[in-house]
Order: sequence, then structure tokens, then C-alpha cells
Amino acid sequence: MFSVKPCEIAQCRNPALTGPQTGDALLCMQHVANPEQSLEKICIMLESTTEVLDLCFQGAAISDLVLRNRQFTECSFSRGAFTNVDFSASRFRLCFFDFCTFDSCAFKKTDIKYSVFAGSRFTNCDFSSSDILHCNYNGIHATSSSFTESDLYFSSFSGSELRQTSFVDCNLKKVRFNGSRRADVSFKYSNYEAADFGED
Amino acid sequence: MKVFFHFSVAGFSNSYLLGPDTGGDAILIDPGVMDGALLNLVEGKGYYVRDILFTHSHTSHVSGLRTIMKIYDCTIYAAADQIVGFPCNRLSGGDTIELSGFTVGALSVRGHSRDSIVYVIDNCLFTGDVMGAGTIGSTPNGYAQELLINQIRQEIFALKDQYSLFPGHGAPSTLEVERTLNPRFL
Repeated sequence: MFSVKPCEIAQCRNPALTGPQTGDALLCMQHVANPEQSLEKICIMLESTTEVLDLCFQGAAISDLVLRNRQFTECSFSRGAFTNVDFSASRFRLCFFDFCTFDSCAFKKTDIKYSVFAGSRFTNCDFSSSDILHCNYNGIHATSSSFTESDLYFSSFSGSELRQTSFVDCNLKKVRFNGSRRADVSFKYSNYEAADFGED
Repeated sequence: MKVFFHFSVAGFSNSYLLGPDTGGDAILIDPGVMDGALLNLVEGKGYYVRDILFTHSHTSHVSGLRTIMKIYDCTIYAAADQIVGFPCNRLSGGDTIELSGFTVGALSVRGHSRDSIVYVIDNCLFTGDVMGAGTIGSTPNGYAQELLINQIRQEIFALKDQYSLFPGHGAPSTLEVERTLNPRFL
């Protein structure tokens, strides 16, 4: 499991960058000697590794990266900003992407279990044809995004704001949409009667 | 520390296996079922279930115990004297114990059941049915619901650091997400 350790700079409350490939210093991205170089180093590591384990890389801004066919296990990217990142065909287990922003990111044909995207903002993101089981999307804002042809068993979208977002031909068994606000959202061909839309 | 999850369709419940990175003695939390998949997980990762923690004694969280006790010689911990006939080491809120190389803290959070315990291990909270992603546990009446909400505020939301939250049912979450987004606390 990723380790949440505070940055060793006095008064800094940010979590340090930790993980098997990150070195010994406990510093956050603001306090590493050369933030741009550190970000580039981590991006190169992500691009060159197929298996990413126990990485705590919170608050990172990552753009224009192809991370297809990767395995992410027990990682935290909380409060990150992802632009034009392709995670397609990747596998996520116990990964945390809470309070992130995702712009034009691809998660096509992904296999995501027991992961957290709560409080995140998605614009033009594609989760189609994916297995997304036991995942937490509570309080997300999704615009022009797609979950089409995905299995969303036991995932939760409570309190979310969904616009122009597609849930066409999805398995919605035990999926929660309680208190969500939806505009131009399609559930065509999905078993929406098996989902929970309470408090609508 | 490695954390593995197992989902039981029987009670729609989550079990969690915690162990060191390289195998060895491990902790199993809320084995609602002991099936081939869970056994393969334990054995495949090179673990021996040395300790079992129960968040509470409802059926969907304890039904795997009889089978596990036939396979492993393990010690049981719960806020009860016995679970399905097996004696437990009784825990109370505020207790801290060392198990399988991990420091385990116990928080008593009643309301869903009288024996509900939340376990704090590293930066992880194992909440059982006390709370889940965007939810709190079911309660028999309004008094119990108020008790549960107040105890979550006092015991769980009072924690200072970042915590991942692993519930007995449904998706995981984080303490910050629940503080910010759980409609019961807005």
C-alpha cells in the first residue's frame, strides 16, 4: 500500500512523494530540488514500467502521456491534474484518484477494482468497454464523458453531476446514483432498474 | 504493507487480507465467506492467516470463520466474547495491539451494532458497516442513527492524517472524501 508521509520541510503539510522508485528523501513536489525535473523523472518511470506499485504521487500535473497496458496497484494520485493521458487497457487495484481533474483522458477497456475517483472532475473522458467494479465516483462532475458498454457493478455515483455523459449498454447492478444531478445522460440498453436512484 | 480485497456474493461483503510485502503472517478482516478464491489469494501470496479481526458479528462478516479455523491456527479479535462459538480476544475502543507485525488501533463506533469496531492500521481505516462510500451503516431506530453519526464525528472524523477507508460493503473511499462529500455530514 502506498505510504502517506508528510513532507520533511518544516510547516509543509503536503504528502511526500513516496514509492519504491522515488528515492529516500521525503519531499513533496513543491519542495523537491527541481520540481520539473522530478516530474519528468516520474513520468519517464511511468512510461517505462508496466507495473506501478505503492506509489504516492499526490498533486501531480501530468499531461500528454501514453500509459496503456499498465498495472497500477495500491497507488495514490489524489489531487492530481491529468490532461490528455491515455490509460487504456490498464489495470487498477486499490488506486486513489480523489479530487483530481481529468481532461481528455482515455480509460477505454480498463479493468478497475476497489478504486476511488470521488470528488474528481472529468471532461471529455472515455471509460467505455471497461470493468469498473466497486469504484467510488461519488461527487464527481463529468461532462461529455462515456461509460458506454462498461460493467459498473457495485460502483457509486452518489451526489455526482453528470452532463452529456453516456451509460449506454452498461451493467448497473447495485450501482448508486443517489442524489445525482443528470442532464443529457443516456442509460439506453442498460439495466437501470437494478441501480439505486433513491432521493431523486 | 499489502492490502488485498475479497468480495463475497453471499452477503455482498468485503473481506480484507493484510500482510507484509514478502508473505508470512497475515491479518484477515471480516471473512464473510472462506471460498476457493480467498484461499487461493492467501496461499498464492505466501501468507498464513495468523490473526482475524471482526468489525462486528453480523452474519455476512463472520460466516467464513468455521472453515478458516479448520485451515489455520489463528487468534480472533472482536468487541465480543465469542464469534460463531469461537472465543475472541475482546477489544474495546482505544485499544492498541501488535498483530502479524502491524500496529492495530481499535475505535468503538456504536450505532449499527453494539459491537462495532473500526480498525486503524497504518493509514487505513477498516470501517465494517459503520460507514462506507457516501453512506453510514443501517440502524434500528433514530436514536441509534444519531448515536452513529455523533460517534463517527467524534471517533473517525477527529483523526488528523490522511486515511484510506475500506468498508464492509461497496467501494472504498478516503476520510477526506467522506468528510467533504458524505451527505450525512453535509
